[in-house]
Amino acid sequence: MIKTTKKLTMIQTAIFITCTTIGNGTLVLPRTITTQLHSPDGWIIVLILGIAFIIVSLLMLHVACKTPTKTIFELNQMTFGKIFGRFLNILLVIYFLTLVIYQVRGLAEIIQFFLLSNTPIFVTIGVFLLVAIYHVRGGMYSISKVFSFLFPITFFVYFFLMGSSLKIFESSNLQPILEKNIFSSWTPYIDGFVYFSGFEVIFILIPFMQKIESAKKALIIGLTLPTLFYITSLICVIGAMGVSETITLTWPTISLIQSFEIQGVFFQRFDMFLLTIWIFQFFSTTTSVLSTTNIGIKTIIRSSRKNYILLTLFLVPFISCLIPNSIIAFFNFGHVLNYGFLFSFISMAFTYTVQFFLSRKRRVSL
Amino acid sequence: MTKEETSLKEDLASNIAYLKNGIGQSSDILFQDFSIGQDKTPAMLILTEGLTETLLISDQVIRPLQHQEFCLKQNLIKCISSSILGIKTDQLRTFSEIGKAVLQGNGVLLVEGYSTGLSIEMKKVQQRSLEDPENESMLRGPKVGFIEELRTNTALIRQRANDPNLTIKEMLVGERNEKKIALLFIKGLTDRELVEDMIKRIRNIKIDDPMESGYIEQLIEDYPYSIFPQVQSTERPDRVVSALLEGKIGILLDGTPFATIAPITFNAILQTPDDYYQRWIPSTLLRILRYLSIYITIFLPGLYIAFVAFHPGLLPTTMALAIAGSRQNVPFPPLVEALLMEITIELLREAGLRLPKPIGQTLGLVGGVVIGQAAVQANIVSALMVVIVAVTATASFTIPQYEFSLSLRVLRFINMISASIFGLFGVIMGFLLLIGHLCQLESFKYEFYEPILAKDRKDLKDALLRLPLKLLPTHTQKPKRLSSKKQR
Repeated sequence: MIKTTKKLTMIQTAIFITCTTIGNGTLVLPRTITTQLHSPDGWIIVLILGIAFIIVSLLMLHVACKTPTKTIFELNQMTFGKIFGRFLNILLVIYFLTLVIYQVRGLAEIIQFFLLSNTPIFVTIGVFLLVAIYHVRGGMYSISKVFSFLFPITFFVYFFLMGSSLKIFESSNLQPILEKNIFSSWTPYIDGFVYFSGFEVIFILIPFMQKIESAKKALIIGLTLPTLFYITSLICVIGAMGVSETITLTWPTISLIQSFEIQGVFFQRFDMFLLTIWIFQFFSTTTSVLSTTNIGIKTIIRSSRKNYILLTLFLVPFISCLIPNSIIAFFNFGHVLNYGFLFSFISMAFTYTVQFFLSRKRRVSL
Repeated sequence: MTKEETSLKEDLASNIAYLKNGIGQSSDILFQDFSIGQDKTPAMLILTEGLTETLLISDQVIRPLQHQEFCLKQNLIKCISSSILGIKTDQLRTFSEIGKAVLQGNGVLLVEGYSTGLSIEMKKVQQRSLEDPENESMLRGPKVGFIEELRTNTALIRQRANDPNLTIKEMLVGERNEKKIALLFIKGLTDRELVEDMIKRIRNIKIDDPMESGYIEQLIEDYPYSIFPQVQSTERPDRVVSALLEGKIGILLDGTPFATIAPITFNAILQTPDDYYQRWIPSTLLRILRYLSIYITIFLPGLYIAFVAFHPGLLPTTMALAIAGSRQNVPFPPLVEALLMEITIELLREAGLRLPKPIGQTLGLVGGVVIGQAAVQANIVSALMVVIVAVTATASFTIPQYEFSLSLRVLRFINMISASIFGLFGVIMGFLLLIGHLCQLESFKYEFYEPILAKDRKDLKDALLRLPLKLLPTHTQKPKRLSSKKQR
């Protein structure tokens, strides 16, 4: 039997992280951050958050690279023993599933609002999840290939749309910069924080990488790109619509694209392109997080019954997705996710810190 | 045919009786008895009429033997075998071997007092002459295609590739009708594990008669349930040679002019040898055009359905109005309209294929123009639908490989149905499912499809683009894709 290498290159890893991270964020971020801040300086907050994330996660990655064959799930069980490690993993899996539910429900809301107003929401969710499960079945490597196909499309279409929105851009909307003290309150940071959820996938991807040395580079690129997406969307939306209008819009970025037309091209309105790439990105996040969950569950129960796990991965999000009964309930659900992400981030950081000291102790004893 | 492993006896008469009971029951098997030399040793020559060169055999074998003097008191069979020059001979010991040899077109000589038979290769080759491959015509390039004779086909390859490392490994497939199958690869260039894997897969084929290489292809590929072919079939020797130089394996089967190339990639399907014979700028543009035509073939009718039935608001206002105007008198929903027209075009295509060529072309033209025009006037379909169907059909003809364009045609119908249920969302989901499937496919443990960003940078020179030949890696140093992967 000939084996294909089935290992991710640096670029594939970077795209994997990016595609997992940017999901919902670009569409709603301008509203959520600005609502708390009441000033056009949201992009500075995102920039600060992005840089902070890169620094902290690089530290974690530094420790993670010392055990290049282990995912975070395996490391948890190795560091804390079977029982507590498993308990931690179960919590992580629950968090990942919550993330999936949030993404899928968010997508279903967008679809219902813009494309299929008459189709029952469970049908959209079912179709979406089934396609995602099919991708998960193919494994991490083929998913990463799918991402490398979808990401360039997303990238070009997105920046083309944002570039063409400059037609209605007014720089006065963004001024004055730093009029208010952006450090006065924590809430906008916590709100912005959640949009970086999903980057943890790097700690699962490490064993799948071709060269472990390039992991850091991949992580930097993989976190810079989402930051760039978020900052662009914040600047363009606020620049075009102003603070007071933005906070009234449910999906500010889509509204931005709907608010202008370009004459002389085949299509005058471009919201369908934005919707298409955003379905791609929701889909990427969902498949990526689902397959992470898949790996997590496999580590916990050590079962080779692939199809049963996949069935669970379909049924649990499918049923839970239907629980929030309105879009407001859904956005509130998003706040729960903030704590989930905080938990996963801290737990992973904790694991790596313990691991760091353990390995040091081991080296000293040797 | 029963598997008789019975050995020959020394008694000629009983041997003959045994054979007459077996293969001798067919009337085209000829038993010719004569005697050897002056001591009149009885002998028998068995051959299949039509398959064997009868004249040659009587001139070169029977006549000299009747008058021979030199083999007295020696092992007659050995002596005869060494005295016939320029003709391949073989000693046979069992009846089943004899039966096989006779049916392959060899003459078999049995002599009284010897328990070995001698097969004498005297095949009469029935073949047509070399012709331009009709299904894969090209503007530039050699105008020679394979024919049904394996030997001629391997010779065609050897003529174009005289590299001493080019290895032709022959095997037999088929339980009842055994056929020769030849594996072509370049030693040192082709992954050895790949060759071993391929040999194993061919050995594992259990089939009565592989009539065409299509049987072999379907029995050795990794994903028999996939909609895409994972091997490439071609009639062109130059295509096989260039594939061999990329480290792939060529498979030739006796009795068919279609060679199989494996493993293949998605990109390889969309390339033609023409791309390399022409200058690079037009070749690159044509290649991009072919990629575009895949999307048109699969998604255009689906998108039409999605926009007309679900989201007319997403279209530019004037266009939406124009479409609504042209659909004003059409009584059907867009899906029915599209299905009607698509099925009509598939009918025309299939009918044109079965008819003789000149009539087929006329039918296509008459059918396409007349039916399209009449359907619009009768208000069965809208004019835009006819345009879309025609563009889609034309686009599907630009795909170089027929099997692949067949899969795309199927996908188009699936996409139309999903678009009619879920609108644009359905089209996007269909697209994602397709990409997911493509990314999961493997052709003989090699990646079938690799998106641009997942590729090695060196491979990009010859994927979507076809850069000048000077910039492409020379095959002798570094094979283009597959082996480069191996080295990584």
